Formats: sequence, structure tokens, C-alpha cells
Amino acid sequence: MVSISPSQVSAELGLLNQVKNGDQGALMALYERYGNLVYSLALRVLRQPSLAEEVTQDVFLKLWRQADSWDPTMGRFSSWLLTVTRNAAIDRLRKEQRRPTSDSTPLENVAHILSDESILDTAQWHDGQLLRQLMGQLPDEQRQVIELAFFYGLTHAQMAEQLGLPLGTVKTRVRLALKKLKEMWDKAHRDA
Amino acid sequence: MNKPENPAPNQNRHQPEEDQEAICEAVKALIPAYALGATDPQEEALIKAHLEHCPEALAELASYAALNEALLYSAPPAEAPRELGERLRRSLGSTRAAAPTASPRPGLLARVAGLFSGLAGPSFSLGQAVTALAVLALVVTNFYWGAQVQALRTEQARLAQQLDRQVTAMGLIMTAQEVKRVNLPPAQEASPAHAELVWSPENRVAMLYAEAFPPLPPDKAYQLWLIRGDERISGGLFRVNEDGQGILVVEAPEPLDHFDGFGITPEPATGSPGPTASPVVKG
Repeated sequence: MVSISPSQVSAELGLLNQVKNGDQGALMALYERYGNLVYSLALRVLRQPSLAEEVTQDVFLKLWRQADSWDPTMGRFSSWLLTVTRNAAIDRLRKEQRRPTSDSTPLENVAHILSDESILDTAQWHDGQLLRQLMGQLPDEQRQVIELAFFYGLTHAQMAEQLGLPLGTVKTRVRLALKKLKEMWDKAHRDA
Repeated sequence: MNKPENPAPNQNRHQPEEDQEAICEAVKALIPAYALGATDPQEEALIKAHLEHCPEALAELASYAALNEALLYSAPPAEAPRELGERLRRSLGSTRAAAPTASPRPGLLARVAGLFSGLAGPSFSLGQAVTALAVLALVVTNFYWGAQVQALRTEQARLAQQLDRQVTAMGLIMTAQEVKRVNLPPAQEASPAHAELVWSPENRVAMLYAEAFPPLPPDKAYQLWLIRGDERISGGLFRVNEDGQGILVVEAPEPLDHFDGFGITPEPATGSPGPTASPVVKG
């Protein structure tokens, strides 16, 4: 279940209603809370601060213009905002015609990465960071296919072409990678 | 995987059992990639058709839902440059001013007419005026239908996403070892409205099924309240169909066992920080 505090749920609903009524302060309050979260994901996909900034700004401007596009019946606000961010960043990546090649350049070299700071005090964020650590324990070739699919929006066939591997190999690799990650994730939750 | 009880139309109807088993296994192998969005279009079509009648495949998909959501939060935490907030603040004024509803700009008619007057110059003839009006009518019609199609697409995407979420939650509940239930009887005399909360403590998922609820206008929705002492915590919003039936995947900060009771009230469509109307059901 969702682990945001009750006051947080009420605050978000209140702020979104204010945004709908054209209250700039309310939109900026949402930016204060979620700006770093959105920027982090955009940067993770695009790996270029200037593009990540543009995508972050676009995401909040979309929220400003269409404050009612989030349907509370669909799930938590932050996950919806991140889904919008992920789609926008992948679209931007495609427009730039950049191939998601390697993650060899650490993000630390291109942007200010916060070492041990929580940018959102919710169970989802902490879960996500745990998952990042677990992904680091996967064999490189398994981690690579998860990242290509999730952060760069590539399908099996596109990955096969990009990696120069047979389609069957890619399918097997994706399946094994996710199964293994899920096992590690389930175990981490059991042990917690 | 389970054999389908009610095969979908045109779905494997004449295939021998072994073929169906093989399809089932193939789909099962693709489920992790499908959850991640890595499947190709033809694979997606096969999986979607199969999910309609295979609870085991559905449960497999549901088991990846939390992992998939957590991936959204897995980017290394980066600090957005300070000036980005300022840039955003500055652009808010200009973008809101461009919105049609709050716009001081001339209306569409005047703007299109302005285009023609610019082209025509001082000797703007009657024939040119008629042509301009005809083109103007076409432009206005295109704008109208373009907006309608866009609105329908948005609604279709929203409904598909909502259905995915409900199917996932249902799968988690269906496969849970332990399922808890609470009935919510009508709060007003002679009302037929009632609801049931079902949840799985193990899978951390809860659903609400509402029946015989009064229909609401489009600007209203029903809101579930989780009650503990004087506290009223929102459990989510839902709408009902013309028969008064509605489903909600409940959002709660804690397992539902931790609350004293539950209630449902009609509220604004975007939700309310606290109940503002009498409950329809309560329990």
C-alpha cells in the first residue's frame, strides 16, 4: 500500500486544486517538493543536465496547463508525475536521435548528485533507492538490458539491434535479469 | 498455467491442449519483459489476449507491479540547479496568459480574419471575403474535431491505465493466502447503496467494490475515508457507472486493520482534504 502520510495526501489534493485555479505559488510548492525527483529521473534518462532541465520544466508546465490531468483514482501523484517524466525524457532522447549507448560516464561527472540525501521522504523513494543498489549487484549484461528497457524505452527487437545480439538471447537475458532482480527485491523486503 | 475456462472469441478455439499449454508457457516467459514495457507490439498483442483468460499469467504480471513502480524512483538523487525554479516561475505567467480561457488575445475568429485581411490588402473583394469565410469555417471545424479526437484519446488512455491497475490489484488479491473483508452498509435509511472492502495484508493491496450508489454529476466523485478517532484519511476517489457500481484500488498509508472504520462521501472530482458531505455508506 501507499506509504505517504495522510497530511501529504491532503496537501497534494489541496495544492492541485489551487493550481487548477491558477495559483502559481501552489505550482511552485509542488516543484519544491518534487522538482529534484523529476530532475533526477530526467537526468538518468538523458544524462545531460541541460536536456534534463528542459524536460523538468516541461513536466511542470504541463501540470500548470493541465492540472486535472492527474486522476487520483489512478494511483499516487508522485508515481504519475514520474511516469510523465519518463515518457517525456524518452521522447526527448528519441528527438535528439541519441543512442543510449553506455552508462560508463558516472552521473557525478555531469551533475550534482546528492550522496546520501533523501529527496523525497516516502517509502516509494527509499524502495527505489534500494532497487538501485540491488541492480548494482546484477551481472553487467543483465543490468544493461533492464536499463535499456526502462530508462531508454527500448523493446526486445531494438535492444537486439543495438547490442548486436540474437533476439532470443536478448529475450532470455531480460527475463532472467528481471526474475533475479525480483528475487533479490523480495528477499530484501522479507529481511527488512 | 491454468486452462482457460472461458476462452476469448477467436482465441485458440481450435487449438489442441498442448498448443495452448505452449502458448501459455511462452506468455509466462514474456511477462517480466511486458511489465517493464520491453515487449514488441506483436508480443504485446499475444500477452494481452492471453491475460484475459489466464489468472495465473495475471498474477505473474501483478507480482511485478511494485518492482516496476519502484524503478521510477531508482534514479540517483540529483539536485536541480537553483535557477531552474526561477525559470519555471517566470514561464508560468507567459504560459497561463497563452491559455485560451484566460487569454486577453483576440478570439480565433478575429485572428483568422486578421490573417486574411493582411493578405488581401485594401482591395479585399466580395469573392475573397466568401472564400475567406469558407476557409475560416473549415479551420474552425478542424479545430473542433481535432480537440474532440484528442479528448477521446486521452480518456481512452486513462481508462486503459485504470483497468490495468485494477486488474493488477485483483490478481494480487486472488492469489493471496489470506484475504480480509469489511462490509459497508448504507448510512442513510432506505438507501440501497452498499460497499465491500477486500484486502490482502500479505500483498499490501486493497480494493473497494461499490454497488447501487447514486450517480454523480461529472464534477463530483466518491471519496473513501479511512477513519481513526477524529482523523479522516483519504483512501482514494472513484466514480460509479450508470448501475451505481464502482471499483477502487485503495490507497492507504497503513494496513486497513489499523483503522476504526470506513466511510464514503460524494466530493469534488479532484477530491477533498476532508469529508464535506454526509456518508453514503459507513461501517
